[in-house]
Amino acid sequence: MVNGIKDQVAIIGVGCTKFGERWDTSAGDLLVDAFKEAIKDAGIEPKDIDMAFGGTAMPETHLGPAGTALAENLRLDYVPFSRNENYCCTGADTIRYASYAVACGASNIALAIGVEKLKDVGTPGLPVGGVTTPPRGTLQGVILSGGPGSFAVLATAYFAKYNLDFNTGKEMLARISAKSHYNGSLNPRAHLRKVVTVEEIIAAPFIAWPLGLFDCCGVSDGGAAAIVVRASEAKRFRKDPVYIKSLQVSSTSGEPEEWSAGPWDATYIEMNRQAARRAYKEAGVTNPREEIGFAEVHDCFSITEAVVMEDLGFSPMGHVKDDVFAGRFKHDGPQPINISGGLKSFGHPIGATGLRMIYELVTQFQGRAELPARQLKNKRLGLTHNLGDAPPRSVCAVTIMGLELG
Amino acid sequence: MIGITSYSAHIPWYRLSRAKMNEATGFLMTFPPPGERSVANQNEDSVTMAATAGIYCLEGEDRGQVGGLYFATSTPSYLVRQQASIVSSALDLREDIRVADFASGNKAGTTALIAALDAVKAGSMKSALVAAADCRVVKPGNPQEYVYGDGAAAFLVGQDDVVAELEATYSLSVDFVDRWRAVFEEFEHSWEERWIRDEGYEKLIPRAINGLLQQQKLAPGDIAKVAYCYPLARPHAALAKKMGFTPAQVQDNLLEKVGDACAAWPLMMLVGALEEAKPGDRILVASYGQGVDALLFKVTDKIARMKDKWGVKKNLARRKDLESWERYASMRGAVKFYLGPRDQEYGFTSYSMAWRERKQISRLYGCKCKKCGTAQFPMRRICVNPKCKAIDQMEDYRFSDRTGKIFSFAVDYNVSVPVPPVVHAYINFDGGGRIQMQVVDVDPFTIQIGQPMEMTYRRKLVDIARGVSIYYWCATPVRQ
Repeated sequence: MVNGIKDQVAIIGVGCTKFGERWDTSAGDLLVDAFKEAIKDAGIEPKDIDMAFGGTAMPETHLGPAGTALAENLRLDYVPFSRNENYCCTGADTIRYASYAVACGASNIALAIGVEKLKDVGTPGLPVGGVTTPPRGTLQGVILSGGPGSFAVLATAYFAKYNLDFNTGKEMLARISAKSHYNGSLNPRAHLRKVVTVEEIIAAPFIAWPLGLFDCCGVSDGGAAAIVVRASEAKRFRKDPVYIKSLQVSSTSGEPEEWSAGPWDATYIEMNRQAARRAYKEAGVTNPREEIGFAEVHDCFSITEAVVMEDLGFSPMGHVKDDVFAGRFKHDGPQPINISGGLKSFGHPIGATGLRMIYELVTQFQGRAELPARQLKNKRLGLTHNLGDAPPRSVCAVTIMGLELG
Repeated sequence: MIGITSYSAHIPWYRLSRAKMNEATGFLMTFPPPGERSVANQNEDSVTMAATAGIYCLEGEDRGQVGGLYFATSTPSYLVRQQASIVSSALDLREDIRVADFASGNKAGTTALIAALDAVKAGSMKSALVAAADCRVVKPGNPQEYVYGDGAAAFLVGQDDVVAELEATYSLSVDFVDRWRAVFEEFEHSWEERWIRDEGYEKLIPRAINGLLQQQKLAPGDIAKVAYCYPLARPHAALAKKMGFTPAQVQDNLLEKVGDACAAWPLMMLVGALEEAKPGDRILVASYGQGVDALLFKVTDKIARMKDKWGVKKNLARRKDLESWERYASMRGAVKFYLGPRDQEYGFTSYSMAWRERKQISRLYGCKCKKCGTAQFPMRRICVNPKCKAIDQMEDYRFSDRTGKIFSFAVDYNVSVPVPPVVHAYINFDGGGRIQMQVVDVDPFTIQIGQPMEMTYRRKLVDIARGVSIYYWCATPVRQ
């Protein structure tokens, strides 16, 4: 790696809407809400922004395929506005582009913003094709499978490899979801704010066996934004900027999906490991289990969070169960995961999710959690993780940030 | 010598007890015949069943030698779009062959078989495949619902290694209007059953069978097995006696186990007869519908080659009880059940894309790297093997006749199909390659990681708004 992004860029402002079934708001409304909060938080005017990156994953349902509709809603002053999409890594990618833009000096103040109106598609859950429906009768169309089924194969393989009997495996997954529901119950911006017991989770109907209803994340509307500047400028805007330590993305090479002679056994996600390895190197992290104080990870399904804990090095391979049962990842555990409630409870408007994770990290670092019960203490480094598309052909984004330089 | 050189049958996995059907529809004062009927799975239709029988028929045969394909059905999925070409692609036959669809009733199967034998006899094809399949759906509660069954049969005909030589044919053609369905109609009509019995089956079948025997100067006693399409159990047996056959000479008509599978029915019976035949046996098979085709075969000593063929007996042993008439009705579209909120989410079908991808979609070809030997799917230009990554070193590689093992799977209820769930799996192929596929004809909760799978050609989707049936490959447990 060349120099990397560590300590070159800082976040000076963040915004995040209430996530949920926002029947009364348009994508444009959510965009403005997130933007309004972010510029206020940064203490800047809209005219100060000289470059913008917007993320939406389902252009069909809201703002169209380019950046223009996003720009119109924000009334920016003819600045470059690019839309991007990278499945569930969309939000994380917008801040990556914005950070690179300021780091290289092309921009002084860049906006990263993401929004999604998933609840305007007419179905609970995602549409059949996930974020886009490929033409039927084509190769893409005939191999199509839904999200729950695509991720449930991880659980089947994981239970088999590590000899977890069905009940133990289900309980491990249920504890993950119960933890996220509890965290969500404390978070006023979260979509699902109900505490759910392990027993209720296990008893819920199957969506894609072995995953049941509560193993699946919320499908929500929401928007989130972040404003970045060069690290050297950050203190001009606020006393407690949050510094970016790493921005990494790994896209599949096709090996896990197509190379049967390869090592992939459906109990992990190679792109998670690749992105994490590079992120730790970029950030100078050698022992993630100890050094990463807390993380917001992509728990689209409970099994995803389980394997992500191992892929990110938070749990030893094959041992996430021990950490889950020991409460390691709970809000009061040594390494809280998804203190926000996660995709599970906070919700998952695809284009916004990566940025709302960053919102959570930044506000936690700055001691601004809405309720004392969910304010974490003394956390040096935080991590966000997103995973797009089905496990064997995913794209993974890992960002690491911290309150201090160095 | 011209005749049959290979055969097979396909009987769908699901069987529905007629007594169980009666629990749902008996309030209409209909009375079920004994036994059960076969029910094509929700991902099957006549095209896929014909392809399935064709695949079995061609096991151990050289597909490159097949010079023609005739597909017969009374339940086509298209009026305009030749389905023999779909079946031919699934079977990975050559493109420079003659194919045709035979349609409109029970006789379609036997007429296709005669046409193929004639073509070989005339020397215009060296060998030809005949595949007949049917899956009729009647108005819910129509007594024919008990009687009809779904199934397919396939024959390879040619000049070499003939297992049953064609001795003679005799055809009758009359516009006897017993059952009909117009092109604009969903369900068929019929005239009075007693009239059909007395003036149809009882007169036309003996006329053709006796006609054939007289033409060949043979007596009923010269025939080892006689098979004819008469879907009423007791009259069927009585008619044999009237024609001078003993009960032992009458081929099982599969009515109690499968039902009347229309165009495929006489050919399925012929497969059943050939399975039990000895060299020298004469087998007479007769169809029925707007006349009769009667065909006479003489079994040769090459019949021993066929002992491992996937015929009727093996099909009958591979079965699963369908829980209810309602599941049948949803699966076969007899009743339009709610398919969940996602059933309207069809992207358009791009036939220009599908045409470019035809070898992968229709024939299940991937590729194999000439440099490192890695088999992979789909066809890509750069090798997936991380130690190789050779560019443009691929050769075509067929997966459709290969077996594999379940790598991992999920049982997905979040689907818009008539009868959920759907098993979603990754298959690791023996010899290399991994493909994401649906697993069909399996009890989902018996699947094991590592379980052996083979490929089967299925209907993946019907887009009613655009009139599109989309066919692709699925995995199914390896036949035992």
